Amino acid sequence: MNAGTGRRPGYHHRGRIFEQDDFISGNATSGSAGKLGWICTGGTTSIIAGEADRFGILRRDTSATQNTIAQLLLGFTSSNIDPAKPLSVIFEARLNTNDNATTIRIGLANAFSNNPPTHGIYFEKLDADTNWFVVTRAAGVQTGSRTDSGVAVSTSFARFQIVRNAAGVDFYINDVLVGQQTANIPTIFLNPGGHIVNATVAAAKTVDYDYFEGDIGITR
Amino acid sequence: MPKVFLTTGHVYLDGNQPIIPYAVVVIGPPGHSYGGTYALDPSLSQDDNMIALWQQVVAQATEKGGSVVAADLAGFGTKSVTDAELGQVIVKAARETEEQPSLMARTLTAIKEWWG
Repeated sequence: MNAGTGRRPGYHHRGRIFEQDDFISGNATSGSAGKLGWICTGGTTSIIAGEADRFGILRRDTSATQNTIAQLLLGFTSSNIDPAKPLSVIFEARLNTNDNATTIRIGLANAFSNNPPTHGIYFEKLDADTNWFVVTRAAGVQTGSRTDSGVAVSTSFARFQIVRNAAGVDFYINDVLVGQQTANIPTIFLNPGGHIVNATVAAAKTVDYDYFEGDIGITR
Repeated sequence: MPKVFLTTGHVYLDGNQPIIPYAVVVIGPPGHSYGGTYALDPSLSQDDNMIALWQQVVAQATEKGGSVVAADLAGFGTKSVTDAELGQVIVKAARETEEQPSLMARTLTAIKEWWG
């Protein structure tokens, strides 16, 4: 323990922000989802039955209205995280509609209410993609900073981790390094989250979120 | 006895877009619940926005299982809306698109989705 402060060992609020959500608590109403009160704008949200080792699962559904952007967003609409800081963000998620008419992004963005976000650091599957791509995008530019992870998109849960360090951004899927980016890293503040979009067909597309963890370096 | 219950939550801004979150419970069988959001349309009156919100809920509840009409809904924090009122909004939207042809395709799509 830090002498005289009463703080827990290993965590100091002046140097880190640590947030975690298993989506066990909360409800399906935007602003009250999960224990962190996630924003769920567009489409519908439901809490589905837990599965083995995945006790809380939040489902985002575009509904059958075409061009719906069903986003999951931490922190209302304010952008909170400085991407220049060292950080690690983890999502465990499952795409249930792995087809050629589903676009999905998971990570950090400003803002997931847009398709695509203007600024972001995220994993991406566009309609025609069959692999996950890793993207850094700043002010609408991602030239040279969208690369194939080599990992096929599936309908199983996967662990997506983004690590910002001094060299750039590292992307991990299921704990394996699958890509790095050094260009077009946003300077605009970002929020953790994701979205799923049914831009080409009027059919429901869904994604399940099981876990989030954000460990962001700060100085205050 | 209504079989669909709607409650609205705290409005917030998504960029410049006011958003109303809501929760829906459908008593079955099969029973289920879900959450959704309604993007307020500033070109509509308050009443017409509420009617459009109900339209959206009716469509979603139907999509998720079973046939739902406005008479099945009970709203808490929203005005009660009849099927006739829902129809009036659709007619009004259709009339407006005659004056704005660029919106016609979008509105026709919405009407088709609404009436199945």
